[in-house]
Amino acid sequence: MRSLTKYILLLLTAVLYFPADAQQVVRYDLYVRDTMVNFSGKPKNGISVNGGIPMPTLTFTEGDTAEVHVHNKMKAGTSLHWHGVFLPNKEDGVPFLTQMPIKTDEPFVYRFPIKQNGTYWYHSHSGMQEQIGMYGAIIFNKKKGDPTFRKGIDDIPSIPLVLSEWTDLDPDNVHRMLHNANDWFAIKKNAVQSYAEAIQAGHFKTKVTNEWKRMLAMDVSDVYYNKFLINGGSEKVYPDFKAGDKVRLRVINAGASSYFWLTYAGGKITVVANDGNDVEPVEVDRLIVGVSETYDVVVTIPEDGFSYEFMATPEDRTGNSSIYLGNGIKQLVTPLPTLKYFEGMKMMNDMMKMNGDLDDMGMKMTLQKMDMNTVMYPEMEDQQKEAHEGHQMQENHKGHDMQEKQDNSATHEGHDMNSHQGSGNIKTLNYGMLKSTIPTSLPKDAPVRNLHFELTGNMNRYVWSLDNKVLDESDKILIKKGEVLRITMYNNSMMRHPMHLHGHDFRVINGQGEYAPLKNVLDIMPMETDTIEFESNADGDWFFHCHILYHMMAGMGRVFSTENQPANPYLPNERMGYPMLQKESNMAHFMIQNDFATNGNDGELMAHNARYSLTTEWRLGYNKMHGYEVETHLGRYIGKMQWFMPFVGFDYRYRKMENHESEKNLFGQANSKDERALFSAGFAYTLPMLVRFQAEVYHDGTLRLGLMREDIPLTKRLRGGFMVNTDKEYMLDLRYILTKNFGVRGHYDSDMGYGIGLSVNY
Amino acid sequence: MKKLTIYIFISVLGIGALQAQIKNQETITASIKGNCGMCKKTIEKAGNEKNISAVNWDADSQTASISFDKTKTSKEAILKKIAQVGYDNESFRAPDDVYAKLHECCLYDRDHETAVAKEDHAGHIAKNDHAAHSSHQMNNSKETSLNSVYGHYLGLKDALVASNANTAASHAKELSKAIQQVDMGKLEKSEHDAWMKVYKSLEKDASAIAAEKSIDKQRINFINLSNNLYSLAKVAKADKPLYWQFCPMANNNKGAFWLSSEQEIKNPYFGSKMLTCGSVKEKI
Repeated sequence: MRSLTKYILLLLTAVLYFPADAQQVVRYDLYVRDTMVNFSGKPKNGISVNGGIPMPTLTFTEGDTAEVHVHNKMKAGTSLHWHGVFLPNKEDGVPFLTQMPIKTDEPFVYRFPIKQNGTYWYHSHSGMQEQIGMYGAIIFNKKKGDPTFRKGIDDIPSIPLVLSEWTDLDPDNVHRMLHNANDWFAIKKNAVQSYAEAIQAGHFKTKVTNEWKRMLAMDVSDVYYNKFLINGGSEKVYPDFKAGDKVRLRVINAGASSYFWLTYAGGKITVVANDGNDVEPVEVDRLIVGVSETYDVVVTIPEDGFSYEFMATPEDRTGNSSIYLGNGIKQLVTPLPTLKYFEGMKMMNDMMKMNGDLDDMGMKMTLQKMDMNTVMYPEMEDQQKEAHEGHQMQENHKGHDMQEKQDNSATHEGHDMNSHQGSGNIKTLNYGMLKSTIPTSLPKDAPVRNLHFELTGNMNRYVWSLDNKVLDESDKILIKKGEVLRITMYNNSMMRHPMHLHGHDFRVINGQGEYAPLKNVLDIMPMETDTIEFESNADGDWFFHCHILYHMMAGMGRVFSTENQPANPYLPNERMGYPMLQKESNMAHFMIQNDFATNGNDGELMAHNARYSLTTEWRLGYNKMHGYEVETHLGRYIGKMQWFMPFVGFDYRYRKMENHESEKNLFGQANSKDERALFSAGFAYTLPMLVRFQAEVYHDGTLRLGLMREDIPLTKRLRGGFMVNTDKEYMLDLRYILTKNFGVRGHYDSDMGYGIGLSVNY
Repeated sequence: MKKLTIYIFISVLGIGALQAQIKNQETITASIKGNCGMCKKTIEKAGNEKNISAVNWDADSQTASISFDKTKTSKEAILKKIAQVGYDNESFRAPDDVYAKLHECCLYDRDHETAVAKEDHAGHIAKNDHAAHSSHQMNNSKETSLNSVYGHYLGLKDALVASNANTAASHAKELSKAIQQVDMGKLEKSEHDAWMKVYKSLEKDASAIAAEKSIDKQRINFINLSNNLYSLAKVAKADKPLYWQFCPMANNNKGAFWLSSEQEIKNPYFGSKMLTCGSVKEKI
C-alpha cells in the first residue's frame, strides 16, 4: 500500500511538475556501512554513509516531501533522527520510542512533508553511532516568493559546516570509562589538576578546598578527542571569494559532547539564524555553539590576496579545526589559549555548598549572559593588559598633561574613549541577543501548564538526571494536544547541558517579548535558570533530553507523550518500546583491575549502574600464611550526590596462621579461624577530602570500621592511596599511570608487607 | 659479563638514537619572516616536534629548512604553527595581535599593513558614554552641581572596569575636586541633609583612590565610596537614571555594590576577568 501511494505520488509529481514552487518528492538513498576510517594515523572502526563521514548533505525546499531510503548494511540496528524537524511522530527516528531499530538489510523509508526552512541536521539515535560517523546536514531552502526572504542573507553563497570530533577509542568504552571515573582523559587533556600542579600554580589551598567539598577536578568537557573535524576534515580552502563578498556559513554542531567556539580572521561574525530559525542579524566577535545547535552566520571577505581562517575550537581547547575563505596567503586567527583550570576550580569552590548544591549567590544567572568560565580564559587577561598599554600610548600622543590643566572636561572625554577602545571587550553572543524576525507568541487562549526541572548530576559516578531521576526511574510525562507547556529549568549540576526537544520548536523567554527566538536546543550553564514554552501540537511520544551523547545514555531525559494518541504502526510490541529505551540508558558498566605484585594480587571487579553497585575485592597471597580473601558487596547509592551507600556483603577468607595465634580488633573481638565465611551488612559514606568511611557488621557480631582514599592525584600521573581499619590492617600505595590500562604500583600492606607490581585495569 | 652488559647498554642506546631520527623524511625550504636570534628560537620551537619535524631557520636568507615525517605531518601544518606564534611565511600570515605582542627586536617589517578590514569596534560604545558624560557638563549651570560628582564617579568606575589604575587615579582626583566644589547653597533641604552625611567620607575615599597606585586597593576604597554615593543618589537624583549593581563574588566573596549609568553589567571589581558578574539590584 505504502509503495503504491509512493508510486502514485511520484507519478503525480512527474505529471504536475512545475519548476518554481510545485510540491516535489525529493528522494535520497542512504547506504550505511561499517567501515575503517583513519583520522588520527590509526585505522579505526567507523560508520560511513554513501561512502563517507559525515553523511551527505540533504537539500530540500520548503513544501517538498522528503523521502529517505535507508539501506542498513551494518551488523547493528540503526535509526535516523531528523533534528529540529516538524514531522509525524513515527518518522522521528528514536529506536524503541517511535520505531524499532532498522535491522540489517531491512528496507526502511522515512517520509515527511517539509514545513520549515533553515539549517537542520540528522543523526543516528541508536547507541553511540552518532559519535563514529552518523551525522549530516539538512538544508531546507525558502520557497520562491517567501515573504521572509532576506536580501544579503538568503541570496548569498552558503556553505554547510558540520562540526564534529573523533575519538580513537570505542565510544562504548569511552562511556564505560566515564562511569568508572577513569582519569585517563584528563591526563591526555593535561587537565588532571594534581596537587603538584596546584602547588606550582600557587593554588594548593584551592585544591584542598576542592577535595574538601568532595569534588573531582573540574573540566568543561569530559572526553578526550584525537581530532576535531569540519565536514569530516580540516584545513579546507574555499578560494572562490573576492573582497567584499559575503558568505553564509551554516554551522552545525554534530559533535557528541563538544561545544565549539567560532572565530574569524576577517572581522566580525554576523549571526542570522539559530536552530533553523531566522533571527535579527547580530554582530559579534565570537560565539559558542552548543552540542546539536545550529547557527547560520555571515562573514565578509575583507581583501583580495588573502584567505581568511574561520576556526572552530572545542570548549576545552585541546585542538581546533579550520576552513579558509578567499584566495591567497592564509590569514590566521589567533588560536584560543589553553584554559586556566585552577581559576575555574577556585570559582567552582566558591559556588559549591558543602551539601553538593550550587549556590548562585542570588545572581539569577540565565541565558548564557554571565559566563563564569571566563575566569579560565587567558585572552580576557591579555585584553586587560592591552587596554592598559594602549591607553598609555595614546595618552602620550596627546600630551594630555597640558590639556588637563587647560580643560578638565576635554581630557575627561578623552580618557573615556581610550579606556573603552582599549578594553574593547570581546563581544560574545548570548541568548539574550537573539530576536526572532517574526512574532512567535503562542495562542493566548490555550491552557498553560507549568513544569519545573532541576538538572542534576554527579560527576564522580557520572550519573546525569532530571530532578535526580534518570529516565529508567521516570514514567512518560502525559501532555494534552493544544496545551501550552511552560518549562522552567534550573541547572544544579557542574556541567552545562544542551537540552533538546524533539519535533517542536520552543520559545526562549529572553526579554524579546513577542519576538522571543524559536529554538529546539537550549544550552543551560551551571546555576542558570531558563524558561521555554511551546504549544503541544503533534501527537506522539517526543523525547526531551540532554544532547551530550554520554549524558543522554546515562539517563538524562524524559518523554512527553500526548494523551489518546493513535497507535504507532512502527511499534507493534509495547514491551519492546519505552521499557527498552529506559533500559538502554541505565546499563551496567564493568570495571576490573588487578595488581600483580611481588607480595600477592590485589584486585577488584565492579558492575554498576545509576543506583546499584556490585563489587568484589580480592587479596590473593602467594603462600598459606598470607592466604586469600574475597569481599563482595552489593550496595545502593542514596541521594543526589550519592555519597551514602548502604550495602550487604559476603566475605570469605582462608589462611594458615602459625601457632594458631589469634587476631584481635580494636574492639577486643578476637578471631582465630583460618577459614571464615561471613555475611555482612553496612554502609559506606564519602567524607570531605573524598575519604570513604565504611562500617560493616558481620553475622558473627564482629564489627569493622575503615577509612580509605584511592587515587589522590599527587602529580599528573602519580596517584596515592591509603586504607586503615579497626582490624588493625592498613595499607599505603603509590601508582604511576603508564597507559590507559597499565600502571606500576608499589604498596605496603600490614598483612602482606611491601610489594611492587604491575597494575592492570580495564 | 660486565662487558656484555655494557655492550647491550650501548646497542640499546644506539637503537634509541636511530629511533630518534625522523622517519619517512622529506626536507623542504620555506620563506619565513623574522629578524633576530630570538626570532630563530621562537620559530624553531614552534615548528619542532620530537621525531616528527625539525626546523632550521636562517635570518639572512629569511628561509628555513624543514625536515619532517611526511606520514605524520605536512609543510602546511608546520608553517601554520610558526605563523600562529607570530611569523608570516609563504603560506600563512600571523594574526595581527600575536604579531603585535612579539618582542620589540622581533617586529620584522610586514609586507602588508593589515589584512583585516578596520572597523571601529568600540566606536559607538565610546560615543554613547561620551554623550552621557558631556550632558552633565551642560546641565551644570542648572541648580545642582552633584551631577559632576556622579559623572566623575562613573568615569572612575569605567577606569576600574578597564583595570587601569592610572586613569582611575586621575578620575578620582577629579571626583575629589568636584566634591569640594559642590555648592551646598543650591541643594534642596533633603539633598543637603543627605550630602552632609556623606560628603566627608566621599572626599576621603576619593582622595585615597587618587593617591593609590594599586588597582586592588583602589577597588577596596571604591566599595565604601559606592555605598555612600548610593545613599546620596537615593535622595538627590542624577539627571540620568543610575543602576545599583551588585556582584556577590567581589570583596572576597562578601559582595560589593557599584553605580552604573547602563543596565548592562560591567564589573569594576574584576574588570574583564569577570566582566559580566553581577546583577542590577535597583534603578535609581
